[in-house]
Amino acid sequence: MPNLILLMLSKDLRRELRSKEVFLSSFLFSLILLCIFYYAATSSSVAFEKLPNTALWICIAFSGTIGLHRTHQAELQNACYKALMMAPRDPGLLFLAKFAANATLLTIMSLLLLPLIALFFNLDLGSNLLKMIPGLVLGIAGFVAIGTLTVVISANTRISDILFPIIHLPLVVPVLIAGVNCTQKAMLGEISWTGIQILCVLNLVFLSLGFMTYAYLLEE
Amino acid sequence: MSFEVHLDKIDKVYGETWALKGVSATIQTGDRITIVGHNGAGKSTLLGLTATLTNPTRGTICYEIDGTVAKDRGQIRRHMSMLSHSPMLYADLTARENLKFFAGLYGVSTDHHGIDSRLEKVGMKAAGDTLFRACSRGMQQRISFARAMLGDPDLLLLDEPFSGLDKKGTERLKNILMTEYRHGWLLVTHDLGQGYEMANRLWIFKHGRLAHNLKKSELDFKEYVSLCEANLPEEVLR
Repeated sequence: MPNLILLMLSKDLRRELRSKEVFLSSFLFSLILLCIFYYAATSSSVAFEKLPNTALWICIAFSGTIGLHRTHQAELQNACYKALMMAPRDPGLLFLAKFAANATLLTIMSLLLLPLIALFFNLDLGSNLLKMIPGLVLGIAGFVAIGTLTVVISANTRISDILFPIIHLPLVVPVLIAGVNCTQKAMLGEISWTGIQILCVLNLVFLSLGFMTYAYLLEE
Repeated sequence: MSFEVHLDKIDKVYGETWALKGVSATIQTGDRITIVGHNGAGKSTLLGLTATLTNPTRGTICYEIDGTVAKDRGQIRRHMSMLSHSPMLYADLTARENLKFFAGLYGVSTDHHGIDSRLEKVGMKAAGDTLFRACSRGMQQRISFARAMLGDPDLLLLDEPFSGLDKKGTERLKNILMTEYRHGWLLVTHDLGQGYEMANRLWIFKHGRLAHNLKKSELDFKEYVSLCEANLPEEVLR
């Protein structure tokens, strides 16, 4: 199992380092979102201190959706997913490996976003950064667990690029609410144990669901 | 090691289109079967079904490993590999990285030299560090062939395996199949001469049906060609 995760992770990271497809599209999109947020906030009377957290999760939600779709497109290109399916491995383990690779990529992107958010919104992250990590990582894990499943469901349709966000975004709402709650409290120096517990349960549910259903979803 | 596949009254329907209709046949250990048929006759669908990539609409496919019926797909897939006109390799990895990844995925132990010797066999050792996307169509097909041969599968599913290859490349891969590879295959091709030469059993598909299932020794090439070109009688099509 760890070997399979490492194998998938090294493959996806190597691919990404070469092509920078996912990173460039997701990160630049996040940057644009941050700019829009900043100018919208400065030209209105919105409470400025609440915006960094909102901006962070909106960036994760939208650029993460783009990123998940791009990584799945790479599997579809050259029909690579057929070679994956032909592997004598439990498809559930393939799901967990793919989930780990996707989650790592999105976590790296989000960690790179944090200093930018701090810069845009004049936020002192230093003291509360460690408190933010559990909520952020668990939130991203839940988001990616659902996305790794829904991207496969939508892939077999002719309108996968439209259908994927339509299916994915409503499903991740509970994860986003819990994630936003966790990181908002962390920015105030507190830890939201309830939020973390909810995220753990959601992760467990969606990872189990993916583990059990991936084989059926992969079949044409 | 014996590996047999039994197809029993297989139907495959996409929407309202019948891709396969009542196909029954057995692939025995070491059978080298050539499948021919016009476009849309159901050849590639049959390969996909045999590869466990998709399920039949009706009918059953039974896999027997050493005389025992196998149900576990992981166990079944260990004995098969597929090569089609899509290379099934990652564009942003090098040829060597691609083979290393799939060797790991398929549980084939290969060190650096093992990968190199496989690339050398298909004449691609020099291109080992070239990005797959930068390789020509023919080079990609050779590397893809090396991937398909990784686990020394008991049954190779070959869908137009020589597409994009020049004459030298085709001869090279054909030579590996005919002389070094010891197991069986299902070969889908439009080249009747090549298909006849490489087979010990011939399947002719027409309109989703297995119209003829013959031993090569039962007919010469001319008879084979005329069978391939003949239309199915109206009463069969109905």
